[in-house]
Amino acid sequence: MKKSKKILSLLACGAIAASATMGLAACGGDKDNTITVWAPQTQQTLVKKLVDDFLAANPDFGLKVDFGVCGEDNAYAKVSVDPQASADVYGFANDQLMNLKSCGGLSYLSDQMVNKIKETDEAAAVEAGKIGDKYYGYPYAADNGYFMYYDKSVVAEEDTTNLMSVINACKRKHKYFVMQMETDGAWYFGSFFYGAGGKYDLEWDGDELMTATCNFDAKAVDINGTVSDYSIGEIGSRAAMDAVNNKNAAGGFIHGNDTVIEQRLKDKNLGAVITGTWNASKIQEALGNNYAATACPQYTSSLDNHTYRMAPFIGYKLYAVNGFTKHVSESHRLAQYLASETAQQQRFNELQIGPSNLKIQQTEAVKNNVALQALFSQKDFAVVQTSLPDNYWSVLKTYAGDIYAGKITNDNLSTKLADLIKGLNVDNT
Amino acid sequence: MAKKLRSKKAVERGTNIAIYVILALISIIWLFPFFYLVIQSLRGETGTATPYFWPKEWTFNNYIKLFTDKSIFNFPKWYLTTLIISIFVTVIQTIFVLVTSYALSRMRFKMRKPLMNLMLVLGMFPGFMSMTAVYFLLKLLGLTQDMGLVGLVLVYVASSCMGYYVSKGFFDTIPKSLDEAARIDGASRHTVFIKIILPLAKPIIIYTILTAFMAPWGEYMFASLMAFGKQDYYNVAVGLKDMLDKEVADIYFTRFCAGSVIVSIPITALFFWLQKYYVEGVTGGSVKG
Repeated sequence: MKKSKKILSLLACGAIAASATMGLAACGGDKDNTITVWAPQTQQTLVKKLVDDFLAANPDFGLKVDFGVCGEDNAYAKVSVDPQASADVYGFANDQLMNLKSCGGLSYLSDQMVNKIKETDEAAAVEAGKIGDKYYGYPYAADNGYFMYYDKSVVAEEDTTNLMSVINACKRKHKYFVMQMETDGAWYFGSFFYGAGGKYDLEWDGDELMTATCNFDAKAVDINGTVSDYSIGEIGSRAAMDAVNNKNAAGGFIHGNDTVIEQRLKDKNLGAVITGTWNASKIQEALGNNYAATACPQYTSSLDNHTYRMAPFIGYKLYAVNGFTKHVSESHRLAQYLASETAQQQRFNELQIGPSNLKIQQTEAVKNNVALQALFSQKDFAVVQTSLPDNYWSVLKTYAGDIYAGKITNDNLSTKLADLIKGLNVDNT
Repeated sequence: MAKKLRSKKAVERGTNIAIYVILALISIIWLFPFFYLVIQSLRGETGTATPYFWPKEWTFNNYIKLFTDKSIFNFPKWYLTTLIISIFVTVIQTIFVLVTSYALSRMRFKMRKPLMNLMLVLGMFPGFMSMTAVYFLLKLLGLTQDMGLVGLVLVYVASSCMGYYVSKGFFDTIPKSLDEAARIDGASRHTVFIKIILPLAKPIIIYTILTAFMAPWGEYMFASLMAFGKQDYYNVAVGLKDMLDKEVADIYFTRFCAGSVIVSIPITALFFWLQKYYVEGVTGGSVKG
């Protein structure tokens, strides 16, 4: 019995001693000469390799680099919890710019750096990191958008420019046209309005949203610049309603997320789909020789017979330097390298991530990438997705869902539209 | 005409059948998620949810890859981390709970009642309400990120003595005269606890160990906050959730299922091993002597 007592007290002492010493050891850690880099799961290996290259090329750097995992789409969610403990260098999607700035998670670029990236990268990508007259990110990817993939044996190339021809071609062959209307529908659905001249203007005071105004009740403008008798909201909504009317079990329009797309590919009944580069390899594999991609189609309104286009969102990914970093200049050097031409080239080679670097965009490999070419072909009319207020997503998502469910009809369209506009407008002044 | 009479046996059989059908249905509903997880973990096709239930291709690869393919996710490491946390928590928490219960059951001191009331009230607050505050406190002490595991153990055991109810109830059932006899023979409180009470309280020790061991395996919130993106310090719950990230879920969904099944193994094993004590422990405490 004596033994058990000893063991017990030993364990207790051991536990206390262990936690105490470990706690003390923490104070003397080498946190002060380490830079932490966050990168998404799939880029971990690549980023580690890039950092190794960087350290080898810059023996004077003098700091250690540590790694963590954080998706570009999750950057704000994570950084806002504890900006001081967050990585010194991390990637983010440009729609989180304002939020990240307001929680102190961004430090601005020197003019020299700005001039450098302005030379090498797509102008819109550089602007995507701008607040006021300061720039807060090194762009490295320009592929956060959507366009149309199609099966060449189902949709003829000349039909791809018009939404209804695409849907009809799919219907004829009993295939599906997939587009997301529910869940993340707001991201895709807005393209109907933006292509008819829709605008959603945001006014910021520093990083605080003052007003948001949408002009969906203004008169629509078609691709030739002719002003219609109908409003942007009416034209856009009616086009979507017409498309949705082709919802049919045997083929035609259906709502679908990535899982549905995958399923349609497996069942070999996908005719065309509006989605982004992340599905490229899957679709290419399934469609084989019939794999093709192009810009989002135009649509002819059944109201006034004018032609409008779907103007999709385009988003960029940038490397940021944390505003709380202890090593500002070193972090900027590293962030710049992680978004440099070399890094973007490797990112494209290994993960087919669409570069924002102009030189790489012109390389043969990128030009032969069907999906990226389709995406880049939208540059002239795509709408840069900036930091949008939460109500934008919730209100538009409900609206798109209602259209898909057939809850919006010719009779209640005007009231529903008025509600939509009311829901989108924000006034915090 | 008189109502047709049925024998008692027939009536009993009827009710029994009804009861068993209901029970069977309930157990199917209850077991189904776990069953689904096991089936999915053996699925050969990739992708997240499939529209059919039975896999078209069966494989054990998901389990093998989970432990061998460490290119993106280091499952074995998370598993080990969680196991270590669990062992530490089990040891410390068991000691805390038993000691507290003994004191509150046997000793009479001025603050006993107020203390018990205080613990009751404190226990009403959900732990995660103080999460952010606790996190920043630990950060001040340097017990996050690199020292996150120590911090995690601290967080898990910090208020563990408040779970003294069941074991105190059990100690209450052990006759006081045993203590008194030992005390007359010159034993100290400590000796009484170690030599008299503990050997009699095996079921409740086992119960305490089991509950303490189980908790860290499924804990997500604190664990993710402490690791803060550093994969080396993930526990299984945080790590497995990362496998469902939209970038990788397609490939890793079946492995995620395999991982979830693996997580349940140590708990289940311990449970089966200590099962007979467990039932005694839970029910024993409820009978007041």
